[in-house]
Amino acid sequence: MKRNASHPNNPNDSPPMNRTRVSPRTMGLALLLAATLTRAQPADPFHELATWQFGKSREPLALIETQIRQTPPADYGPIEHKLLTALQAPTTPKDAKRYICRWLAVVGSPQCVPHLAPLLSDPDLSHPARMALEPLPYAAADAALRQALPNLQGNLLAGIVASLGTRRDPQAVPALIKLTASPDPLVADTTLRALGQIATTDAARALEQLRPPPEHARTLARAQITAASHLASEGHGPQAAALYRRLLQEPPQPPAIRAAALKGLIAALPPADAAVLILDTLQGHDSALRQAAIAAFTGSGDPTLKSRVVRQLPGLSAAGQITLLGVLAEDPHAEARDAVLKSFDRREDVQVRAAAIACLARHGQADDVPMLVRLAHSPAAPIAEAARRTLQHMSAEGTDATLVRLIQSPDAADRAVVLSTLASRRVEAALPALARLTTGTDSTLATEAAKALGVMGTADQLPALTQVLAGTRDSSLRAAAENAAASICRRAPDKAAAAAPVLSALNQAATPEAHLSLLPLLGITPGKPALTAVTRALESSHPAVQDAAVRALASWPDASAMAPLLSLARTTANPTHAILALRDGCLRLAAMDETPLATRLELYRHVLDLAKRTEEKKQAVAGLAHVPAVGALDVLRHSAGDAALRNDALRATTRVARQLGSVYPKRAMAALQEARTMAADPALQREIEQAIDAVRKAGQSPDGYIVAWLLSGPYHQNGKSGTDLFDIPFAPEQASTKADWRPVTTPAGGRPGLIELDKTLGGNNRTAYVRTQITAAQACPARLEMGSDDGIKVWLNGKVVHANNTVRPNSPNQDKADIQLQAGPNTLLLKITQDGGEWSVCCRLRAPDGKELPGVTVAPQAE
Amino acid sequence: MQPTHSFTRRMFLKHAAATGTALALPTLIPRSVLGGPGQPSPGSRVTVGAIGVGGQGNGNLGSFLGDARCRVLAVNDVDRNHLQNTRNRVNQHYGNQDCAAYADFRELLAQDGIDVISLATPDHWHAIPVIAAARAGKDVYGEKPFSHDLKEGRAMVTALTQYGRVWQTGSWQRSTGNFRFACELALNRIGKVHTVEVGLPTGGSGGHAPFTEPPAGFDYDMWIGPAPWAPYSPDRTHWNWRWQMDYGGGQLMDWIGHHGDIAQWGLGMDRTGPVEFNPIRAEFPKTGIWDAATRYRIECTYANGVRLIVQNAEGAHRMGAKWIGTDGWVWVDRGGFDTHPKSLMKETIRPDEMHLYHSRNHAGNFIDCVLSRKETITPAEVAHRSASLGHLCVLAITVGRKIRWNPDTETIPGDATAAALLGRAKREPWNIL
Repeated sequence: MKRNASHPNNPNDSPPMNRTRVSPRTMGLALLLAATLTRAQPADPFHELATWQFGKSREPLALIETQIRQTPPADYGPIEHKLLTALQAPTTPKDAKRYICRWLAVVGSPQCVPHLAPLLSDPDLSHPARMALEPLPYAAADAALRQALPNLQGNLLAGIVASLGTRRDPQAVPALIKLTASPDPLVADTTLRALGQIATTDAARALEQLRPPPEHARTLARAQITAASHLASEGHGPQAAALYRRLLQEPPQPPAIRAAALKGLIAALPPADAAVLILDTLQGHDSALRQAAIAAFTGSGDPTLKSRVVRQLPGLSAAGQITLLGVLAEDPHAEARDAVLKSFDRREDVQVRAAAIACLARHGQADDVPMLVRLAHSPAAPIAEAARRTLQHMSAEGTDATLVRLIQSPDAADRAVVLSTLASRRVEAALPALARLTTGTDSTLATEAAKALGVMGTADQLPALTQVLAGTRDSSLRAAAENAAASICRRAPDKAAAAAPVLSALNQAATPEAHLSLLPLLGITPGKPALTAVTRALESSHPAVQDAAVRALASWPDASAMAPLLSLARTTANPTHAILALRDGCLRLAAMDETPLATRLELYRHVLDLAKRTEEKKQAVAGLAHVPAVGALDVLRHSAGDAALRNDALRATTRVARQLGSVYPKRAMAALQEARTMAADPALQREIEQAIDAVRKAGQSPDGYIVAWLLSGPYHQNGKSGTDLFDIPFAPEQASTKADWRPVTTPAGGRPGLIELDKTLGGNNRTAYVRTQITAAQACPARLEMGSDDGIKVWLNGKVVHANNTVRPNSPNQDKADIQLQAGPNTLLLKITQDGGEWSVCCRLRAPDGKELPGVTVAPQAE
Repeated sequence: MQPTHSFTRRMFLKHAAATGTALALPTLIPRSVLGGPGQPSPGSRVTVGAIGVGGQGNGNLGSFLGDARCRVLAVNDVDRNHLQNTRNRVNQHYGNQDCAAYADFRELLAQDGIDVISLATPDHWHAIPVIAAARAGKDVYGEKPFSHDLKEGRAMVTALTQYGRVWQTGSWQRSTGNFRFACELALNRIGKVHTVEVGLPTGGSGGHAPFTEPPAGFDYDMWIGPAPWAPYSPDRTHWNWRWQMDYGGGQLMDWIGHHGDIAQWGLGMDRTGPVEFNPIRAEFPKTGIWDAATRYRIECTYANGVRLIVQNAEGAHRMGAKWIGTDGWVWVDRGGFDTHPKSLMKETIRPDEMHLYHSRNHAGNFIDCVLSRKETITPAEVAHRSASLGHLCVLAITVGRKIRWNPDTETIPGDATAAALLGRAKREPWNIL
């Protein structure tokens, strides 16, 4: 639905051509008339409203609401008139009156008040009448509510009192004061709260003087808090303060009330007095009041109050200082640096000093950085930790520049702090300086710089680091540079670019140590040149370098290493290298989800061919159990011929066949039946029997949901919504066009039978199809129970048996269709449209009476 | 309201006397008794009472059961099945029979030994228990959207502020790294933001189940509570209340406390709101008892000219929040994150840039703040403003015209009839005074 929602009372929104010719009011009336004329078919919704009851269609109500939405407020009169006419009719049911009242709140004028007032005493309509009266901005509404007070009791009276309180009607105060003595506890409590809400000075005075029975004491105190808050914000500070003080002093109130009273009192006092009260409370022992003082300080927007409190910070007790420093650490509005530094200087207490340092993260300046750097290697652990954290998080202008200057500090401990801080702050401006330091003469500084580069460096610093790796004899520096270069290579978005300096350094490397440091980096920056370099290093005459190359190849991150790994396993004379190539290389790559399924199968097949030890062969068989591919069944069949592998291979066959059973039931069943003939172990035989049973029922969950389908899609057309696509035939609907289908199943642990297309396909404004085959032993009637998000259309054997073009959330069983299955195979095809948001379908096959349907199997028959 | 079944406090105490158990363990001291910011002292726990323990309430309760600093002492629900199941769950977790079960939330709130409330009731049942909890000195973890209408939302903020209570909203997306990072990118890296798209789910029509007697053990009158009376239907109550304006606010209000909240966070506008709400389109169900808008688009404008568009996600308007600035854009959703330029996704926000409140554990952040008395990541004022964004969108599509809004005074200037929808009179005996 698209329409102009402009309001003619707002000249800026009115079409210019209309503004000059037609008055807004006339135009609104014309629109209303036009709307009435065009929408009055087939029946006047107001006429239907006069007989409306719960259980009847809300269509007339929806039409009335549409009229109200299309009518400017100045023209609500006729609508109000129609509503009042229906309200007055003696035959109008109460359900209709309830509805009428809620819209009178919007379209009502003073004229509706006399019609609503009599309803206030009707137990069924008192609340609806208040729904209309409570928001109406007319004095007549107050008067109607007040006039109802003497005639009511119990819940209805409490309701009227609450409405008067909500409207803050000052004229209701005398009557309400009398009601505080009501013997009905509900009425007395509600009245106290209403007086607190109205909060005229008379109401507040009455609340101050009341001495209610103990059961109303808490309600009275809370009403006083409410009243005092209103008084304070409406210019009656002294009276508010008096009420708060009274609550703090007598009689003893629960902690929540005292805390609220103190908080309110602080806000109501002049800043000087409020500051003293906060400071005194912070040093006291009442935890509820201390919390309230903190809350009052934090919530105050008064800079004078804040600065008065902050100035006294250094003179507070240690506990008081720690509390206030904790608050200031998160308060950007208080000017606190001077007081914080004094607090730090004057106190020996480690906790106070640490809290002051923490506070500098927000309030410190760049000038404080050298001091913080020194403190960060202080022997007092809490101080050092606070200083390190503050340096990491300080946002003052010039902080980074000061840190970069301090890189050259003569103090080694200072330099270590600065370098780690620069790293954690990711100060990119320091990177060139850090790179220079790694190749400098001071090896300690070079090591620290390399560590910092490990955290924040980019590929630009790899030449410096690889230069270090090619030449240094310092083992600490080498270790730091290895870690840094590895971290940078891992982070580098362009792996080929990162590999270039490593390859260059490797070409020039003269020592085995350099090769040992550089070769592992190539596994992090894989690519053809890197793989070639590692393969070449396999030929090294130096055993340690050869070994490093084997390990780099065995840890290669993707399947591009498959060929050299298999070649190594075939040709090496070193049995350890062969094992590394097969176990750490091939078997690891085959177990990775990222490796394509066909490659995984290929890797396992080769390992079974090449491995000399049973351990690797067993690992390959175990891995094949997780390769849901028909080819895996063939490889496992061959392995089962080896007595040492037989049981493992049959167990893996059972698992794979179960996984494939819903989509490839014939192949799975054949593999399982052969496995049954080979299995000697009774436990294994049982497993196979269970799998055979499961494959037979694989297409359906125990409660009848179809769990396996073939999926085709998504299909879409430019500018068409999912709703538009409902009747557009795509390939799966057309016998002449071949569609691409792929298996899809309900994920384990998901809602039964729920296929979440938004997760599988994603996107908006599209459609997709799912298909399966139902094989019936004999012709029989059946029922489909479906849920869909959004629309769903169903074909059985090419004929449409259900169609619902809708937009909705998926709820199981929201649609049903009775169908007739023929003996033998039946093709079931579902089309599910997607407008936006979630996109899913579930479908259950049952007998016509909703019970289990015997004698059918369901499988998509991908073979 | 009279308790209608057996799980009242009185019955619990009777059971306790018969079995020799007591409400509070001898070694368990509520934190409120010891007081003071910081970690709880040995032997003390933040004691928790849960109001509303259906699906969401039980999910939230799991966080408190799993937090060693907390002890869940009591549960409340108007559905006896929910109440029994949750009490059993708590007792099983602690290996005892100590959890008290109340049919009436007022009895739970009357227990001075309970420090904090976990609240997960339908929207129309947020304000009353929250205000009562604040006045009883209890901190609250409550579900989004904060309130059922704007006026009660302000009353909730006032009560929580007056009594100095800690509030956390169940807008948990704030405590996940990708949402915070997206907001920080929007604040720091995409130039001047001019448009924000908030994509929320599309609603549905429904609610055709026949009216029946409420199921045994379900206190339906209490469930209706402050809302207008209407006959029972399973399509009205558990879960489905969301799609009816008397108890919820449709998909728009169900999600505004997530993606709308995130959108305002990333704009730095989460303590204010737009000044104009222009309803471009809205579709409402015509049959069934569900009456919340199903498709909708409202264009909102802030005082600085930034436009925020709230729409059901369809077409190019995706679920989530997308900030569009002069130098790029950032889009975030649950499990989805994208930027232009792409390189933004790899960037780190420096210390001298704008940083947002950092929390990795939403319920844990609440308990942290209960102990430290600091503000949570979604305090009451922020939660109220996120809900207000939704309430005013709903209001604009309800009256069908552009609404001007003053976020400082929280008034609708010059449109008294629209202002009538800012609050709702509560069914007696309930009120928020």
